[in-house]
Amino acid sequence: MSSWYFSHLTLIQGMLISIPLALSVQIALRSGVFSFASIGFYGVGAYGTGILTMRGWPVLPAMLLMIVASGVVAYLMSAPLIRLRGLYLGMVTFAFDLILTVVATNGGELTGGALGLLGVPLGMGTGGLLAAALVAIVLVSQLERRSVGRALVGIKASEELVMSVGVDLKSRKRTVFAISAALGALSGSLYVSTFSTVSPTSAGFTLIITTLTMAVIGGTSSWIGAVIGTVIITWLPTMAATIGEYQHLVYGVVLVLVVMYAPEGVLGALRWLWRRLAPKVRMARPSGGAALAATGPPGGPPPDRGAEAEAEPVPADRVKG
Amino acid sequence: MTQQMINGAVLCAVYVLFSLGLTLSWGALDVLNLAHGALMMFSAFTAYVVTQHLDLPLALLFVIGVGTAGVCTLLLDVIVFRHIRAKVADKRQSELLTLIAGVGAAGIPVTLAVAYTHDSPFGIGHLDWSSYSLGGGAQISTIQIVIIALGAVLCTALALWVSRTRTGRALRAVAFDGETAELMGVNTRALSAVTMLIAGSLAGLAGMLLVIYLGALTPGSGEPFMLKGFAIIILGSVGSVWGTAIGAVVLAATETVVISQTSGTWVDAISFAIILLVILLRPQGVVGKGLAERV
Amino acid sequence: MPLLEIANVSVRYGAVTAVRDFSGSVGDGDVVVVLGANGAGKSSLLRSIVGLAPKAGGRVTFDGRDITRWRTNRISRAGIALVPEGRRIFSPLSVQDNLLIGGYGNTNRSEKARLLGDIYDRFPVLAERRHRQAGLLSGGEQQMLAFGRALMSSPRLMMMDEPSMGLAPVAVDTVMSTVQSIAASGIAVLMVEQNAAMAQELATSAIVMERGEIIEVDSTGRIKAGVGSLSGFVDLPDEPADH
Repeated sequence: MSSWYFSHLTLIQGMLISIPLALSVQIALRSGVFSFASIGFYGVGAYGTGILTMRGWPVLPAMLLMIVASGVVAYLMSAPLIRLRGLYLGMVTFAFDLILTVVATNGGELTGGALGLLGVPLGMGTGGLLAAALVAIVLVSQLERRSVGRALVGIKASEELVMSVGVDLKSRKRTVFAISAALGALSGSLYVSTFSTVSPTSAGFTLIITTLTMAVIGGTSSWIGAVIGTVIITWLPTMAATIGEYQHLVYGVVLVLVVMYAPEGVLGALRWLWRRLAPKVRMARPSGGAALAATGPPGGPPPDRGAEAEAEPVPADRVKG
Repeated sequence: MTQQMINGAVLCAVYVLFSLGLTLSWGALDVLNLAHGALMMFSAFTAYVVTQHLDLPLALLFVIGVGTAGVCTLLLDVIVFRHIRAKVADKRQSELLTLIAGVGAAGIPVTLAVAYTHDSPFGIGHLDWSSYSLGGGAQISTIQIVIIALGAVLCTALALWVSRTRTGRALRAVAFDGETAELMGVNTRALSAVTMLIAGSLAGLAGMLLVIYLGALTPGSGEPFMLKGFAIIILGSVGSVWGTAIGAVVLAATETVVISQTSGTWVDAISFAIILLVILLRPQGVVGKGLAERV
Repeated sequence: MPLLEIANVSVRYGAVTAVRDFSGSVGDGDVVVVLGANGAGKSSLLRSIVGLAPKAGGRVTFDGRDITRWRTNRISRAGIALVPEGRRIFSPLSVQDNLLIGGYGNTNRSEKARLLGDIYDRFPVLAERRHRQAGLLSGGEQQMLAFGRALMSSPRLMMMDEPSMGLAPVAVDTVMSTVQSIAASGIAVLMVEQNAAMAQELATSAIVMERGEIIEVDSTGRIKAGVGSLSGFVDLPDEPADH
């Protein structure tokens, strides 16, 4: 076991680092915010923490500063952005990610140019990464559970409905934007303090592909999906040795296929299985009579079952039946 | 000064060709194709791979390069985007999935090019073009003339197509309300296929001209072009042909001035600054109107 | 053989059945009116005939050809025009461009020009504003444009989805006389309406729908006020208001 652990340490660490990043994309998509900005904030977090620790800052304060700063900056940035229609927001945040690559490349001594930062002090053990990933998971799952989370889901379900119950939609979206950025910065900070290096390309286009694949393949309707996706994408290259340099090609194909055929991701598939199996489980129970009477006749799905299933967890990607 | 204007005009022509494709599919079909830049690079890359094995005349290389980008974009629409549009009823959701699928699709050509070239620059030769002196030390080469002419001619042709022809009118109708256009007898599927083929071919043409003009591209060359394309179409209003032309002139002029005044490393940041300014000041675009409204 | 024959057509959206087992026909010269409250499935019926709503079952034949699985643009070119609910004018386009889109399937330029002339004669207000943006027209004028646009395809059957909806009483009268003149010119009409008075004036036969099903058919010729169930139905006090 321990030999397995040590030979796979880099992958395990990589997986733990990716979890907050995948969550940052998931939380945005789940709330109907077409934003790739958190991937840019990953770069901000990585470069910021790297630059600070190389100048003698201890790791934790540097990380915290970058996370908080990213959250605050994102909150301020979100004021004009949140008014934008879907595609415009996607475009602007995509442009934001690309421009950060340019900034990093041209930052001179501060960012180390095209080579990036090398020899950033190490400050993260696997335990620390695990703790950070867990904090991110707890934060996002609690957000989903609490009223804030419900309202966020509501943004996607029906903007009019949520507004009619008096939830301030704009401020909700801005909060999502800020949290998403903070999670991105967290992930970047963890990366640089674990692997001691960051370069312009490590936060560029390929990271957008990888992160989106993680979030979408798992399913964006819940934090569980982001975690599932991260696990799959981290371990996929080890399963097939041939993937190697074609890694991002495989991700690209997988991403397209998932979007086309299973937009609710692995999580959606599991839910679907559960919906099919659950009535049978209930039927098998002797006391199931009352429940059955409430939900409809056995054998076929009760007429309002579909509507109920849709209204409750609000699948990220509702498709025409 | 004259020399800078020539360089700026060449840049502008390439930007126009690239951005017209991007704005056409966004304006008419609500498809923001994030693979547009990658496919521009891929057209030059395909031509480069061909030159490694065969000795073909330049015209044939152009056909191959432009055709590759056009057909890939067409296939992307027919296989992926159309599937999403048909399956997902909610428009916002369908736009988001299209966006994500575009990112995924972009990964394919980029990875192929990185793997083949080991992430290094590639070119297709054909660098010798005769130059003509314009006095005052300024020179213009044949390829520069060709690029400027193609930019101007194709932009005008596209504008006339959209505003004056039967299919152009149908495209404007589809841009506003695809279902009703279909109800009027417009074959929206065929029209969207044609539009995507044109959009992709324009990206391919931009890529081919660029690789000959600059001598080389890299697998990552498409990304800064997406940035520039965004800046141009948001400046000129999504879907507007003349707006795109004006946006390209503004960006190319600004970039040319900045390059001549500074070391040039920050030139890509101009696009982003333009995007931010437009978003803050006038999200609906600065020049022109959308495709449905006017050319 | 009737021009349009609908046999056992059903329309379902997920678990919701909008139209159940609808059968009926429209012959040349007929004006068939489908009556019913909101949500009775009238619009879904029209949309399914032109292929905009998926048919869960049944068969539609037009002019002897089975068009059940045809795509919408082909059905339109075959001679069925639908004036959609809410008119759905291409508002950023000019009035003339709207009309020309209506005749999209017709590639014969001179015939198209003749049709355009006919429509301008029939609706002088459209001729006056031909270069105006269509979105700037009044509601009644937009309805005329919607009719004109549909006529541009020289249809044999014109279907109308609540043409009087949301219009001022004066405009409703114009719509009625327009429908009358369209029918008089030999185009078969299948119209969905909530306005019973209008229906009674024009219809050669009427079908009443409720919750996706036919509950009454009157094909005894021109319906007059005597059809108790019709007027009774439409005068229901709790009839849901139109949006």
